[in-house]
Amino acid sequence: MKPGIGNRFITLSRTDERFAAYLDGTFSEVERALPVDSFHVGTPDEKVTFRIVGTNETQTPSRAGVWWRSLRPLLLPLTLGPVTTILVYALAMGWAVDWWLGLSSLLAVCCWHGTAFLLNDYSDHLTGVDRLSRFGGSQVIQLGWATAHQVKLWAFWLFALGLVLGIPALLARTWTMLFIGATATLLVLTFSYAGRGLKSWGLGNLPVFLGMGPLLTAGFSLAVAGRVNSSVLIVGSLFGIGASLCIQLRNMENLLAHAQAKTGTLVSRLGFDRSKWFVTAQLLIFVVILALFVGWQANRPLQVLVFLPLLGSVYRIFRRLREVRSPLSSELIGLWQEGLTFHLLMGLGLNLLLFLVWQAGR
Amino acid sequence: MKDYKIFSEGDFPAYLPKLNALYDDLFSAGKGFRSKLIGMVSGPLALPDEVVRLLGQTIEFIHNASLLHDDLIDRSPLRRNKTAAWLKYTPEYAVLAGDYLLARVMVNLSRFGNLRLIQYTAEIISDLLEGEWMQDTLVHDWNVQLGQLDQVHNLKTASLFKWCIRAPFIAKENYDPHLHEILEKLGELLGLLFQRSDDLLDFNIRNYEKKEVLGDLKSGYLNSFGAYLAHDLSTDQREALKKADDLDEVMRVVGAEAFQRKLDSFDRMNQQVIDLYAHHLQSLKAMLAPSQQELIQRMESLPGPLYWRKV
Repeated sequence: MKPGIGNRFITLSRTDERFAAYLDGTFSEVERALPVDSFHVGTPDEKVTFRIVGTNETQTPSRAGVWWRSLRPLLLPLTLGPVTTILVYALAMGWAVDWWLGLSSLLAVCCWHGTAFLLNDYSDHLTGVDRLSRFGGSQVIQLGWATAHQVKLWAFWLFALGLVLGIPALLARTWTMLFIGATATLLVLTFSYAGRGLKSWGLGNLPVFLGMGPLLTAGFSLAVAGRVNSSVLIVGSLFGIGASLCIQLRNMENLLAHAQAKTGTLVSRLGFDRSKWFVTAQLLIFVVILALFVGWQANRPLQVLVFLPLLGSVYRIFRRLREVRSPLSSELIGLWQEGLTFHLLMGLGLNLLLFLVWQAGR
Repeated sequence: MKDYKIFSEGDFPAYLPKLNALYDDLFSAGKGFRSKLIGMVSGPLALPDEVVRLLGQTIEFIHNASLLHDDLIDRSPLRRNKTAAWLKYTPEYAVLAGDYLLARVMVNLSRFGNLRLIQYTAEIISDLLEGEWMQDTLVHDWNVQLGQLDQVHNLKTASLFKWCIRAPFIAKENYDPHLHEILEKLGELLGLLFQRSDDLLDFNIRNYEKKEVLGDLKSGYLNSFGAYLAHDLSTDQREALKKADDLDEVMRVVGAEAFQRKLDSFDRMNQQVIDLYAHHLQSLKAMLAPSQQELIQRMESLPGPLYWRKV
């Protein structure tokens, strides 16, 4: 039996005065414009076809559910992992740690984590990246759960909240924090917000490596303990590689879609077979750096056992990559979650090692 | 609409043994839907008969070349209720016959002399082959999802529909990029509807021609409706679905009510595609000359019967 016809569409070109309002979601309080087709994306000739639905038709979850999806809390370990490890390291090294400064800085980092992803969703929607490839971002805008305008406002308020929470660190170590903050802001903007950003040139991994790696660990170490050394940077590099691997595994899941949409990620530029080798090579480099770091820091041989679960995760990723036959294979689905598990196990392993080193040294 | 004969005796060399017999078998049983679509689009454009015949022949040659190779790759014993060419003749002949059809396409188009048409045809053939390659990697992948299959079908099935709609305009030397973008989208949507409707036949949905059911499932391939159906199933249910021999067993695994709910949802999703097609057709209206407006009426009548299988 044919279902009743109830689908309304409108196609608007960029030159139409209504275009911005439909794309932003501000054209109506009671309706959403879901982008279904995009033509000539990123050019003055751009046209977008929207499906118009009532806000009661979008099957929107609760506000908390929408925020849960858009803030991507499952990715929080990518940001919290490095900072908690630096805290434990500082304790292990006997550094004087300002706990209130540490807490406010931690909360500020959490706010900026959310800001970065919200801003990423907003800009990828506007530039068309998340419209061309339905496998990127949180898709809360494309699903009609929130308007682009709302997402932009949430990003603004979270950023402002992070600034307020970061004031103690700023007052304690002004110039250093200003430098770190400016660098981090530049990284977030060049990742996606400035035009199509570094991502479209296949360099999206660089700001991820820096921003979730050595820049984050150095900044946090300076904030809570007023000092930085080579170990802080090495720990940062390990976390940076881990975060970068997560992004690459996510991009491998969507390789064909990105290649067809010409969104230019590193993985889609390398292609399927070379991406598998590239990720495998990174895993090996990671294991070598970790082994060297552990060898340097551990003061009891058995302490290395804390990394057994991590090695299990490395093996699982390696095995899945070896077995996957095609960029559309279902074997790729969930691979990036395995990457998140890898990152989490790395953080837990490092924290446990440093804790045991600290305890052994007391 | 005129009926155009796809090939005549003079198209292939008589000195190659069994080649003409193989093509007679292949082309005689086909419905020639794609060449009819060429005729449907070409009429309002007032293309000369010999050009329409060339375009119809080109698309049928490409389509049937892919069928010859497909049947060999899949080891399918039947094609259109007849013994498949690779089995009736030899696998080598099936491969060569497919290659020969693609070569004839290039010969005929280069004689016609429209370079853009040759370029576009080459791109479509490479899309088709990419889709075939990707689809082959998904056999025995029981966790494949609808979005992934749509990417394959956009390359494999939709590419020929896009060609049918765009090629007549290219042959008429109308290369307006905005026009072709809409035509491409219309072809993509038609191809998607055609493939999804075909996949429903495998589950005996609107199977008015009484085609064999569960052929895809038994070959280890989860088609678009199969993937949609299996999306929420548990691991055990997927295992049982893999081994299902008939539809009764599929119903037992999925549950009759759940099956109907999924079918209704799948149909609603595709009705949305039909409505989107109608919307884009209105954009096309503004781009056509007054003498070509009949094309809109002709194309309006396509998606409904294509998906619902009845006028």
